[in-house]
Amino acid sequence: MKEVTCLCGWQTRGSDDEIVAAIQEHGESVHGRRPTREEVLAQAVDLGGPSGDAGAA
Amino acid sequence: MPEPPEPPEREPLVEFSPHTSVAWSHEFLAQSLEAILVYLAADGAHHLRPIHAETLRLGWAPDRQPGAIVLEAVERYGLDPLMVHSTSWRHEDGRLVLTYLAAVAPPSEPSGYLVDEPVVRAELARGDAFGPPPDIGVAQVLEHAFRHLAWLVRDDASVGEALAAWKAFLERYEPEPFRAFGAGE
Repeated sequence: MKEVTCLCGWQTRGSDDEIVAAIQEHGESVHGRRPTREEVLAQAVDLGGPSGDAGAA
Repeated sequence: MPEPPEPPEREPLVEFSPHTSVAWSHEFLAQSLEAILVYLAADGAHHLRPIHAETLRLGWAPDRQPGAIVLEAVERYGLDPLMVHSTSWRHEDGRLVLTYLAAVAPPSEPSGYLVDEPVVRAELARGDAFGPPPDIGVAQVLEHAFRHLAWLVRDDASVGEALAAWKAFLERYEPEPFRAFGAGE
């Protein structure tokens, strides 16, 4: 389980794939910029617990 | 030889029943970190809140110190931190929310991601002897935080030094019976 907080305060939690999709959509629709997967994951905080991604341990 | 009599049945002196029977799980308690960024202006304290949220919520990895996370967030906005201190906690939407107040220097150029709002006084949220208030708003969290700081700025030398310029402002958050204490320091 990971979490990302945008500088604007918007926040999302979920697996890697979920947070990447959510924040890319948020970035594009609200801030006019679509961050890369690497940029999103670099800002993500691992909260512990299952990641939820397919194939994750 | 006669059989010894059966011992009388007694109530156990101590009950060894568990308080809970829920196994530990990292999903059982989801913690959340709330950072409230404030600065002091001529007309009082101001809250720098994110444009799309009432307060800044930060991911809190189990192996990180919350104060360090708050400091990093302050720096992401290009703000100059004076002090970060935890001032309250509450249970909200299934999470334990730990609130940190981050006092920062007045921003020379505010971030476009922050809204500058003056802090207004509020009645504290009150619960009862065994439970928290049913609702707690941001104004009440701030009121509680400043009352806490009003005490801390006198009691804690490092906070007193970091917030020396805030002492006059914080005096108005001291409970009236205690305002005379420390007068003339």
